Amino acid sequence: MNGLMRLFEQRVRGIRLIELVGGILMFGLIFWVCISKAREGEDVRRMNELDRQIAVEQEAVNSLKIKVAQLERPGRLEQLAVEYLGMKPTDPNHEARLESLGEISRTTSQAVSPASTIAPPPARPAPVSAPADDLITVAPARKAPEVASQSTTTRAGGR
Amino acid sequence: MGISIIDSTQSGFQWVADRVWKVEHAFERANASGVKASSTRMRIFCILVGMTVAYVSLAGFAARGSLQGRGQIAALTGEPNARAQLQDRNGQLLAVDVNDYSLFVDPNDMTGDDRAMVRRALLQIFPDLPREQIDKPFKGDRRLLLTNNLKAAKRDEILNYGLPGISFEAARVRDYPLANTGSAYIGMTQRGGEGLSGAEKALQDQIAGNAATDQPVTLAMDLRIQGTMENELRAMAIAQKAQSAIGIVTNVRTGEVLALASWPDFDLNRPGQFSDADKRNHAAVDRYELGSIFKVISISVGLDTGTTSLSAVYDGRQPLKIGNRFVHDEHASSELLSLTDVFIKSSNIGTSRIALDVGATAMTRYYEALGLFRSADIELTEPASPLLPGRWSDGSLANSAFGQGMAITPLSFIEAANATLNGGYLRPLTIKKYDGHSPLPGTQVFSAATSRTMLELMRQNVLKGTGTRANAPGLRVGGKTGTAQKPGNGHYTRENISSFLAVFPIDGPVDGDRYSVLVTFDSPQGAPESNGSRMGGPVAAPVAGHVIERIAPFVGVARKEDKFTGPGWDKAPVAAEDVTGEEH
Repeated sequence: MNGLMRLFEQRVRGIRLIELVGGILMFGLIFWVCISKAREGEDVRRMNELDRQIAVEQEAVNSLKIKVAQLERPGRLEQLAVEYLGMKPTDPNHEARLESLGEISRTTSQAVSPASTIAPPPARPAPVSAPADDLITVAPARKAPEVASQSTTTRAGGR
Repeated sequence: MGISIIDSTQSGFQWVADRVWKVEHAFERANASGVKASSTRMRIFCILVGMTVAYVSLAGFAARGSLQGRGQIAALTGEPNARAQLQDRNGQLLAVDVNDYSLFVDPNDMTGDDRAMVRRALLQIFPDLPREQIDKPFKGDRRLLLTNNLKAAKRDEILNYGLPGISFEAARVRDYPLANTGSAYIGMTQRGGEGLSGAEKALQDQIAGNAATDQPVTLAMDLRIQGTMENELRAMAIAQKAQSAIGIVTNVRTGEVLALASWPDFDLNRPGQFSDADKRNHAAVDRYELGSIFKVISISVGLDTGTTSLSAVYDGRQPLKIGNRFVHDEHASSELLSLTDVFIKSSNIGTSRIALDVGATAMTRYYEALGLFRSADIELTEPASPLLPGRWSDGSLANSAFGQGMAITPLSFIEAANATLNGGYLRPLTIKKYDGHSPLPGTQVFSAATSRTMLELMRQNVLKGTGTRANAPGLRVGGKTGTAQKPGNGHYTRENISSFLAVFPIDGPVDGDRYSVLVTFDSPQGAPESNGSRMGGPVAAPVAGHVIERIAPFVGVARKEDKFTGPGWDKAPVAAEDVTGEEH
């Protein structure tokens, strides 16, 4: 108890130590609160700014996504594939598995005769037993329906 | 005795100075009055501790608010009526909220010279706007709306001109980048942002809820399948000059609707430019007497109740007399028919006999269990209720067995038909992507054996029956044609409802992944593609076949042989198709 009371008696340049410590603590806390509030204000301002930036960038991202979706519209892609690349749905008889390529190559290749330059015969269709994910197209067969335009379409191969 | 500042004649400053003086001399007063100085010091210490605790608490709250709280930011997020993005099952964007801009012109912000320059610039920027509309703001002295629905790119372009007196106001709108694709499935929103039709309305709560977390809502739709179906359906519908056309693809195991096409379609971004008929979801709203594709259900009921079997024989030599009416077969007449023949030759007589053997009580119990007495079980809000016979007499029972006298929506039909193709379970259709692990809802209506038999009957029908035009080599397609006369003005007209129900692959586990494809044309007029025919076989079956051939890789179905592709099957004669409902 006496030790505690001595703490109250101690003075620094005429000011009691306990009062000095209390004052320093109080002003320190006030300063800290002020700093915290200032930081909070700065954080809020920065977060608002970031939110605005995110909103702007999100809008730009959405615009690009929309553009991509428009460009990848199934009907548009199909129309372009038919119109510019002449692509058509593949005849099942012209589908083959990747591992069948060697066999197809052997059956369709001929040794080049030095006496003649006859073109090799057309590729023979491979067996129709291929998993979908590794199908390759040997040649197109069915005429694709016209898309996007509102005109009537006809099909080759009449099924 | 306290001294009140109100009672005192001193000024406020003097009062504060007195208080400070008293505190400063508290110890002297304590000593003078004999109170121990330590007691006073202790009180001062306690006050200091209390203040410290108070300040620490305040600082704690401030720090927490600074570090964790969003302060006023919270008020800036969560725009009213914001909607989450819609995407297909593979993440392809279907619908998204964007800002559209309205352009305002304020002549007060321009000099006289500016006005002429701005007017010329606007005429150049908006060549399609009427000149009077552009002139209007320049004639007054108020800020006026010039045009709206401008995209961000257009706004940026206009801002780059640096025109005075031009300002923009943003408004949140829904954008559909695919325009017409999937219009009936995706649906649209009202001006205020609420869903109006399709998935936009059906999933309103989820779409609005997900907007806060910016999580997209994923539909069961596969955009590739949707695009393929619409492409094939549109081509045939235009060729046939059909009134409308419907195409649906579902996974029979999960009930997911992978594609739902309704032709004519419309641009979701410009709905005002299309008629109500174009905006109608025919698959959900229109009720059809679907014709012979309904035999899939009635023969399944016969098999499941045990009143028929593959060994049963039906007499198709004479028309079937029910009351004072006769049921005819157009092309399968004058012979004894096995159950397989009844199905692949689409015999009305045989199917009617099966229904009569089952009886009205059992048949209607199955119809009810299959959901045919209510609207389709799906999240969409549009599905219409069926139109049913007032009384289940022998005549109406026989009629319903071959798809007449009972009008249902295509969605209702495919929901019920799927139960014959997935091991017997009636599962609700869904436009939401299945997560792959949740228990699938549904009740068993048919036995697995019935389902297996039905799959094989449908396969035989595609190999040597009325559905050969739907065959896609190696994809084990089964199916059933349907051609129903269309009712109108109290009698059947000469217009047809031509349909095809396909399923693939028919092999594999009976409750495995399998896909049903329903194609329906309302009033086809005949075209070279169908050799002038308006029936389900030549009109709808080829569309289903082409769709299956194109979508099989998307759903992971590989080409392979099945037990029906042995010698002889593909050379079997093709039976002619009959028209249902020819009663006299």
